[in-house]
Amino acid sequence: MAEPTRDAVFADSSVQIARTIREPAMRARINAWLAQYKLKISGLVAIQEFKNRVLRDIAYLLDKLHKTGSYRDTLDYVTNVLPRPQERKRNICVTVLHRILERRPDGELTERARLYLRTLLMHGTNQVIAQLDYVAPTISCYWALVPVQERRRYVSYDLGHKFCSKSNRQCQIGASLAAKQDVCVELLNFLKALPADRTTGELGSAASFLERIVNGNALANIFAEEPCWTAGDLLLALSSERVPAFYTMNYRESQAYCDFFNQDLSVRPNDPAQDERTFPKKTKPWPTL
Amino acid sequence: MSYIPSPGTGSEGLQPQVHGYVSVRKLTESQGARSTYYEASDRTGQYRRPSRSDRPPVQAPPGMGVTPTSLTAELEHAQRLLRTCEATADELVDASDPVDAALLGSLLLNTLEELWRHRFSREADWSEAINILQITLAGTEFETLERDKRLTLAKIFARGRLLRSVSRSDLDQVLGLLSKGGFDIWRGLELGPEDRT
Repeated sequence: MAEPTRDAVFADSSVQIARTIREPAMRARINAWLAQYKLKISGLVAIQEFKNRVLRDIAYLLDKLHKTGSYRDTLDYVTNVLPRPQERKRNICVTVLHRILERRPDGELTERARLYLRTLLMHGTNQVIAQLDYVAPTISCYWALVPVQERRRYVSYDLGHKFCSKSNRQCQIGASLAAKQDVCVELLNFLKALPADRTTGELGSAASFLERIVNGNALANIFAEEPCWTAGDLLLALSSERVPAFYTMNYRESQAYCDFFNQDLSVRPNDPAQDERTFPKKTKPWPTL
Repeated sequence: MSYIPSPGTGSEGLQPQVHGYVSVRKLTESQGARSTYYEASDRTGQYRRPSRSDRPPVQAPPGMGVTPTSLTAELEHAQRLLRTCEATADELVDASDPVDAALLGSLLLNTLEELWRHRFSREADWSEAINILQITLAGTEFETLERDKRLTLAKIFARGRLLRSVSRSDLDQVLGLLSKGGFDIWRGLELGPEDRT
């Protein structure tokens, strides 16, 4: 493997998630891109989004396996019985052990899937963190650091909550945002000044949230805002401050944040056959939406 | 003094014996003729759950907490298989000929498969380690396997890592070594093609 030549990159949650549950070609492309960098950085909010997205699916599959007692029935249920993706609230990842371990009876696949899913559930977060060189702690996230609790092996697990308000006021997100008050003011002004062809609904929501933070209204009642849930992209952008490059699958919001933080932006297209789209800071202004 | 082996013991016990439709092999590698542990497979080669002989095993006195003889035999057999994995992985590191590497890789995979059959003799974290190794290595082309990956396999089996009791942190280490070595521990999980939007 070639030695990394670039300094540091911040990988957001879309990349962290795709790196684990997308098809092998996509994973290979992402890993190859990240391998160019000496330092691979991410944020606590990305870890929390990984838990919410990937580990919850794993816990769901494990629960289904327990209830059906059959790998084939579980696979059939998830791929055929559940509504199609566009009708579902979100997509669900499935096990593909039957493709890897061919010609195995259902009983063996069921047992192997149970063990495999439990391994990923209990050790997955550690492994994702271990693949990074640094997890920026500047933007706090209580639930990102709470380990998965095993109530009953292969059956029942507690992944913690999705919402900051359920942290019993232990999450320090309010203090994190208060410490970045100056940056928040500048970012708010930047977002307000964005032309219409560079802004999105999410950027508008982020600007409203920042406005409430800057005014101090939101900070007084930060848990009611559910910042991780409603402003995840913004929090990750704030975590990435001072990292020279940002790697994402989402150009729409990242183009604004990376412009503000003066970062090089790399966008991983949804098609693994395509190369990364790069937007070096020296080539600004970048394309409009 | 007689040197004639008593019936039911000795080298003939090592040969598979066909009883009707089932081929039975006595697992004497670890405990010799004392072993009461057998492996059986039917004519299709389908493996059957290991079973003990009809011969009554030596019973530990009540309260002594001594492991039943059959479990001891199974544990010792599993230890032997793990040592085979260690030696095979070491050999794989230096195998320059692709055919040699492929054969060693096959031996490693087959040994892991045999270890999986003995999963009930060990702790749950150990079984999970064997399972994830099999899932991660399945379909690997050992002929062209990079040296870094070969070294990773050698590290996983080195210093009796899986011989001794495997804890949660040991399993974490195995996963870490696999990931760091370039193996994909997440390969058993995927979004469906229609979900990749």
